[in-house]
Amino acid sequence: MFQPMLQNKLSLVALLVASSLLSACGDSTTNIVEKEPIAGDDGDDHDHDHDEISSVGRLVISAKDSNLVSVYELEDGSLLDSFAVADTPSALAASAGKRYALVVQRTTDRVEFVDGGLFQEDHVDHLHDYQQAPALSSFVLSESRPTHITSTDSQTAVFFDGDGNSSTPAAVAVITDADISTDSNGYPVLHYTTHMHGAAQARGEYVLSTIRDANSATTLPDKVGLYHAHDDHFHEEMVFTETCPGLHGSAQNEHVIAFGCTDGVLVIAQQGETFTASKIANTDDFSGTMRIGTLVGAMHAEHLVGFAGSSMFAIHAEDGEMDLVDWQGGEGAGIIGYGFADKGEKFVLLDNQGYLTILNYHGHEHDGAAAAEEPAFEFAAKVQLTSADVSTMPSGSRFELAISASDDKVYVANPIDSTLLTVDIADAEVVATKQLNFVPHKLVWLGIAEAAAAHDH
Amino acid sequence: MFKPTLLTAAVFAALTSTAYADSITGTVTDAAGKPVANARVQLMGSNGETRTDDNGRFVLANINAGEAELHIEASRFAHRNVHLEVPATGLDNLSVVLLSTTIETIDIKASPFHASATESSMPVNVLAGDALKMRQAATLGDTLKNEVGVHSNFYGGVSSSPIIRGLDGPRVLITQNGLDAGDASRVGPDHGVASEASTATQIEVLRGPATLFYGSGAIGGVVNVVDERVPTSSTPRAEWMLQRESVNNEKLVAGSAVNGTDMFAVYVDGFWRDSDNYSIPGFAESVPEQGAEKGKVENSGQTAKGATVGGSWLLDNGYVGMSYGRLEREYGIPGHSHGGHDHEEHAHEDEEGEAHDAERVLADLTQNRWQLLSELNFDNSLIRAVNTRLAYTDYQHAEIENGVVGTTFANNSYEARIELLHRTINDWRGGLSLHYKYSDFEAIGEEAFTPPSKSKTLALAWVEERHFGHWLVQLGARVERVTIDATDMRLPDIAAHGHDEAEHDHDHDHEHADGMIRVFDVSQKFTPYSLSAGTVWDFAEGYNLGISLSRSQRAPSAAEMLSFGAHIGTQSYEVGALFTLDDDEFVLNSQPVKLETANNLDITLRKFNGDTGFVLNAFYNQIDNYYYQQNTGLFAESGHSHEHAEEDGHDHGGELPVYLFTAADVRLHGFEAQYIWQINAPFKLTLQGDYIRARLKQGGELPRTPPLRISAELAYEQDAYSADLRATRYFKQDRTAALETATDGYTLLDASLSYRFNLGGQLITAYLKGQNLTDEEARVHTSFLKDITPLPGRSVALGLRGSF
Repeated sequence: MFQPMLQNKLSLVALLVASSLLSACGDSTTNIVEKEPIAGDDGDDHDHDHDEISSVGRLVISAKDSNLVSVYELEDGSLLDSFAVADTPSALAASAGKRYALVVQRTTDRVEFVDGGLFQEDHVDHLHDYQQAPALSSFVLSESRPTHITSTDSQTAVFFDGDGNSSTPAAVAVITDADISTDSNGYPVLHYTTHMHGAAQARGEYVLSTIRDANSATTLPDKVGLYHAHDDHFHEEMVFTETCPGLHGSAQNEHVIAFGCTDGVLVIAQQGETFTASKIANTDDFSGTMRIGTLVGAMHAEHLVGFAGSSMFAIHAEDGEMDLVDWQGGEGAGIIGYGFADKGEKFVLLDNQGYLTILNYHGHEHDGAAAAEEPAFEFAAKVQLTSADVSTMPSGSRFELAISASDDKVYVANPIDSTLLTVDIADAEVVATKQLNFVPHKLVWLGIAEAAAAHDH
Repeated sequence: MFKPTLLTAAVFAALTSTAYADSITGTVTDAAGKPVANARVQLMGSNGETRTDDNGRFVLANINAGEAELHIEASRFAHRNVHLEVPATGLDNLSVVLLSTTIETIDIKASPFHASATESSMPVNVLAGDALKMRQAATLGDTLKNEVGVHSNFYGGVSSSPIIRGLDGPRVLITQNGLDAGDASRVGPDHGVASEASTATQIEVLRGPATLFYGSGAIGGVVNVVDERVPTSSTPRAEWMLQRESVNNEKLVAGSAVNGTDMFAVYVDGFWRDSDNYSIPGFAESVPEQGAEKGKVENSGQTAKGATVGGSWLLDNGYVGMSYGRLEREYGIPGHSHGGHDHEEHAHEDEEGEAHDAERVLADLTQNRWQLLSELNFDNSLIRAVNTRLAYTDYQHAEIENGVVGTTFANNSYEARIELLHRTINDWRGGLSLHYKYSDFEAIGEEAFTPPSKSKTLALAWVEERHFGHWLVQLGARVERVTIDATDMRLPDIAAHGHDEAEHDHDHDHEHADGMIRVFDVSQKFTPYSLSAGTVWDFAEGYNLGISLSRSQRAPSAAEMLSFGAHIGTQSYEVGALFTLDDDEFVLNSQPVKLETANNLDITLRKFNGDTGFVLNAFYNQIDNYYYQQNTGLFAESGHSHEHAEEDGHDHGGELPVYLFTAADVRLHGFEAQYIWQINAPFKLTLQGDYIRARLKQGGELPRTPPLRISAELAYEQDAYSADLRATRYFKQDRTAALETATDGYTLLDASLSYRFNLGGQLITAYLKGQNLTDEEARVHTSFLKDITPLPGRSVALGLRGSF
């Protein structure tokens, strides 16, 4: 009795819904509205302007004794955002692509990453610039005692010293900006069996990293090994027989990787997949316990820079030369910041007396016969950063340097009066002073790098 | 599958009191009169269901007087339908005889009707149980490639999709538990399918149009990967497997477990697989470059891992459950060498120490997927069951070159499907299905050949079936509304140009008119519909004939409409159908966008009784307005070689052929045949073959059409051992599309040996599996990479799996 009625009801419901859909069965409509065209994305001309994107870059600054890191837009000096990381950062470093700041928390075994928000993507026929809000990345490294961080244009090697007290061995993680942005865990990690205060330099599929004898009395390593990446780990390819006693400090350029030793500089040259080691012995300029303990390199710079205390050396690895550079340091001046600047045209030194020394770099003229006599690094200027009495520097603080990779500016944080100074190194003057509302601790520049001038024609 | 246990319990509880006036009791036996235990007896069109006891007896309670239909199924027997007139006093001593069959008869879960290889009007394949465990591979296409009518579009072992009857991409829908896999695999062959075979319980294939259930994306068929992530029973059980494969050093660990109480069930699974570059007998390239090295396909390794948790609330009338799964896969993209640098450049690059990195292109895929599944039975006089499926999927994959993210594909999708099944009305069973799907798709970066788009589908489908004597009639209709919105469709001036004569050192002085890119806001609305009618005629004992006629429509996908850019995965510059060529210059297409319409006829003849069985399918599929990529003969810059361009007055390395999506009428027809002979108790022989022709109506072949294939498999199974030996011959494919090359035939020899034993309450299977034992160099005609990556060489896998 009821069945026919129910059936009718059902089909009625079905019909109602169906008819609303069936109205245009088998139909299609397309609406296209043309909008404002945009500037050529595909032209062979690369000079289309990205005027909305900061080319000046951004700074990440950490506050003293605080877990806050702040990101500033350098275009207008505005504070973009602040992030609370887990612990007070011991150091800040830029990732390979200078998109991320590595926020190193050494004693609590952690590296966090702040996305500066400025980066490039390889588009169809140009590098496309992106500008986003800064963010704290979910990517975290958490091996024991992260300490020395080195980067090439594409890779960052983080050396974890490990901890002798807890018998935690050292490790090296080699990451790319892509690993950070995709929160990958597929990056390769080199695991040691003992702890050490070591250093690593990434070279594509390879990493050159230090080796310490587990029975050694010092935490400093004395050998270097070549390791090859396989998925998430490294295989040892070889250990260089040339030793490097008391190894500290490392750097690389296009052709060589170098490590500082008590008896000189261990230089490893790469030819394709072949790596050969040699030593540049300490010269007569070295006296007493002087040794190269810090090395600086840049991909396109012919020379490496080595520091032995407050002495600066220009190291030409291929020629096996190591020349003292007179940077005209004042009495008692200790070097606390350094680096190639102005796209590789200059080298800057920050000392604890509050001076920034600017040297012109002539690496490209080195192999020209006519200019053979001219030194690679030539004193250009010295800028006094502050009139304050440097003896009033708060304990545990010092001046800190950040170098722009896009223009001729460097930035110095002054903890004495909590200011941020912008130094134009072409004009050798402080061009801006910004008052910070916290005592600055570490800082690092992030942004879109301008290609460095090649110095090795 | 496990829901019955609850219902069975209820039915057996009622057994203690005798003689229900309105019950059916009976016995299920085989042809020799022996009882069949654990056969599933189902009252069609209602929720009544039970299983036979050891004596083959069953009782179905609460039966209404009048006409009734029972569906009886048991392992190794052909399913059977029995039509009854039930008197008010009930029916006693019903006798049902099941016919044994050599054909696997597992019901697919992708259809509300009973559909197995022997009893549906449209052809299906089901891969389950041990067969699935033995065939599972890192990619879905490779898992299914030995199924009749299914080929793989093999993409260097790192990615592959099933090709069903010559169709793939936006025409074959990949679903996971009946809901769209929610990945980017329909857009490019180098984009992996976000599903995992090692933890699946069943993978089923619907060959031919399945738009009725699944809509636009299923015009060529559906592959449904089924797992128990939402458990339907809490019976404790677990499975695990370990496998090591020689050809690519693949290591696989996978496992799943279910446990729970009477009320709740929980499920967990996880897998990890890791492989290196795979070995090949010769050179990777069909025309090797000078100095090329033999033996490996570079950049073909991968690492994948995933885990799923799920839980269900088990009710007296069904279940409601949720699950969360995460899948991560990182794989090399072989042949993704941008613009083919030559080797001199490497020497230069080596000095920077970046050369190896520069060549490596990786894809890094992550998917998070939430699902809610529910099946509920009701006593309502109209609605007997409501099945609900909901999913939210967050998918992303990044293509990374030289450590830099080149392109990021993101797909956020929501899907909901609600099936309302009604009680039998005038012997008709069926119901309505309401289906909603939303996808927010985005590609950012260098390979962003298609603009961000939002696609929405709302559909209503209606399916009914009824027996008329020996005829089962199935009818269905579906209407859907598809909208695609893109606010930023771009038309750049790409200065596409021909490559005439031999002027190969011209430096194109591309005059970029004004370097402006036109931008469009596009909104599209489609109303495709599908109609289908099928019948299964039991014309003789142990035989049937299935005929299925359908008319299906498909709205072209966003990528087919809106694309404009270099697609490295297919080595082409793709231009969507919203554009057209005017004198070597792309302009907006002023012609209306047409729906793709398929008219498909499928005929299936089956013999399933006794020691021999066969299934023969023939199909004819006439697809009008078939969207395909027409080679324009033009070239455009891929842009990938720009870094070197300044230095080396560039060759055509960085240029890609321009393909334009165009609609044309095509005809596909072919057959699939399967013959199974149980020679004696341990030995079984299976012969199968498939063939397809795919042509344009106006003349010309479609590209990448699977070649004729035949295979023979001899299987042995007795006591603790099982083994099989299979030879598959892929014939030469020389029916090629314009500018496509012919591919040689090849023969693959595979074998496996398994040994089962009990250990500590577990059933453990140790197995050895060999593939391509003759180390044949095989190039897959259906692969985009056939000239750069052959199939893996000889491989032996050693594995162990257990269950309890």
